[in-house]
Amino acid sequence: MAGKAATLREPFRKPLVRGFVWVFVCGFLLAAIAGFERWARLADLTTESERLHAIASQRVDQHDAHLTALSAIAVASQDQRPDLFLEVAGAIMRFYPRIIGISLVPLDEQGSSLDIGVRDAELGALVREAAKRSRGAPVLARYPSDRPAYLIVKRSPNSEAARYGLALVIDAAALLDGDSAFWTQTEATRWLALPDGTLLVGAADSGSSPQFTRALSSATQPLELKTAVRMTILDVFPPRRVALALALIGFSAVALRAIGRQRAKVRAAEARAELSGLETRLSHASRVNALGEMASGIAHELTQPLTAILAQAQAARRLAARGDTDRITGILDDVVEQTRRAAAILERLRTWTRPRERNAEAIDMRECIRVAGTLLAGQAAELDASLDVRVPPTPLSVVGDRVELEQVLFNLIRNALDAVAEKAAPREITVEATMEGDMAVIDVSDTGPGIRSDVRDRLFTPFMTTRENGTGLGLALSLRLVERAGGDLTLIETREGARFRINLPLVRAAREAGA
Amino acid sequence: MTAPVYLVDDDAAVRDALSLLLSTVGVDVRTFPGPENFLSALPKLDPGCLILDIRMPAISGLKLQERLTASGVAWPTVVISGHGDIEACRKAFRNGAIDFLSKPVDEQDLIDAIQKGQMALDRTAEADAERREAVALLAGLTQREREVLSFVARGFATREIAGALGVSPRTVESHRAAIGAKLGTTSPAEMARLWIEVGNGP
Repeated sequence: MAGKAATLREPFRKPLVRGFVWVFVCGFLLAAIAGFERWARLADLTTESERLHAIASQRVDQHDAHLTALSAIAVASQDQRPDLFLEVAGAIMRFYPRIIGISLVPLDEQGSSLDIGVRDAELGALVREAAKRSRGAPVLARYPSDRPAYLIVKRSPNSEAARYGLALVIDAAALLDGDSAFWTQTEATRWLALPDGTLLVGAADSGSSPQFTRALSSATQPLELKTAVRMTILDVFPPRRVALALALIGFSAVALRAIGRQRAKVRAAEARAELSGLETRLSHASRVNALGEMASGIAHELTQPLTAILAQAQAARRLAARGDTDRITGILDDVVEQTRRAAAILERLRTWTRPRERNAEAIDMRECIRVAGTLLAGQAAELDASLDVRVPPTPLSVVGDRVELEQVLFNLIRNALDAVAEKAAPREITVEATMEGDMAVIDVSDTGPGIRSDVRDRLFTPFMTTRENGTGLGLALSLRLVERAGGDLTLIETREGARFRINLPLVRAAREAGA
Repeated sequence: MTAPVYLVDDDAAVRDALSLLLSTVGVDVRTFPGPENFLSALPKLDPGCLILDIRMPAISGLKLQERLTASGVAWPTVVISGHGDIEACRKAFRNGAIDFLSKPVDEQDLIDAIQKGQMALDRTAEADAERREAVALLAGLTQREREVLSFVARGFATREIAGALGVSPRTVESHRAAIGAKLGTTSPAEMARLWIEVGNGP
């Protein structure tokens, strides 16, 4: 049961394993692509973010310089030259568009503020409050409007005796403006927040978490810059790259299978060649062995009469030399007898009959043809030869040994197969059985090269063969076996190919002949 | 040629032909169709030369050889064989065969082999005769003379023998003279040979 199950599962196992391997390789490659793409995008993000960080840091540093300059003007002019302050402030704002407002707010609430770019009632109070909070370092605050802007507020002069609060209103979005297409073309997100976490640029809940976070390198405005890049499925699996990878896998799989099949074919061919070589050697060895055994047995049998003959002849010679001729006649009789004995042994060699129980019975030759045909069907298929069997609908009963007559047909058909193998197509073998009077006639014909005229006379002689590996016993044995069954085996003249004819007496005729 | 030749071969024609051939050269041949027949007749047979065919049914020639050796029959044996099989040949010689011949056997080879066998038999017979003679001679000695002879055979001088037996050298001398008269020799070497021949080790 287990064995059967295993053999049943076998055809399914290979495709299954192959499928697993395929899926695994595809998965591995896709993961590799995704990993690479992700890494590449993050690397891009980091590069761009660092660049942005550097620019922004540089920009915010400029604000300190502006504040210092404006503070100096405000203090120096002592409220006398508001036009100078406004002129310088206007020039700064024109030159730096991200500075959207400048406000100079007197700390005593009676004085009026100098506001440029922004007009906001709350702004004055906010700046004043911030300036009072300041202990030297500028104070940052969210600009109270829907613009993404912040305030940088400084005391002026920057001491406990400060009289003004000086503020720059800076558009945080403009702070991040740049020439890099990265931030506009991709799914990148930027956040900019005051150090206290107040968000200036970017949505609070954009769905993605920052992948790059760094405070601007400024002592006064360490704004927190955060960036992220959202990766879509198309970013992680770029269609062209994935398609290319899958095509590569597919091509490799096909190529590997082709190579594998080719190698399997070569191996199978090698195995077949080795096997056929082995068979050839084996058949040769068994033939040599059989002949050797036969020769050894015959040698021993022949030795006995030869020993007797030699001894008798030498004894007779002695007697003759002595003149004792009376006994010589008797000795010569013995010599004749022993010579006959040796001749009888040789006769047995000549007919090379083996002592075998022969079982003669009425048999249907159609059966014999069928058996021989079945035994050789595989060989015929291998040679791509057609084996056409034509038999009458009624039994062809003859008396003989079934195995022997099957062997005859086997030999004849195998010879025919060997003959057609020497020629290209069409390779046709025909076995035709007919009834002619009281005889069964079986013709075995082939479309091979035919029998050479120089071997035709010796065709049924033992050990005569035209084949390299032939024993030369097939036809000789076949003839003997057919003759035993009271028939004969002949070569029929044909224009092409070869045709052997078996004539066997049908049962009634055989009985009448007393066989 | 006096000793008989015993031929054992299962093939009647070969048996008859070889015995005919041997009879024409004056050899007394007795044939046996098989080893069993020979073994059953063996107790009544005189020593002779054996010719055995190696390949026989039931007991092969080699087996028969082994049995004869085991039962103390050391007659010279010639083995003949249908095939010149080297292994069989080696076995035959190991079992003490004096010759190994291939069939068909040529008369001269066979006669030579039988002659070799005869010589071996003659040597055995001669040795037997000498031994029997020595035994007969020694049987005539008295107990005391035998004792003295044993000392002489072992190479002792008269004075030493006298000392060993506790008699006078004169008495030993007279014993030696008597032994010499009975054995027909006064040579101590010849006395020693007779002494050893009847089976007394040196």
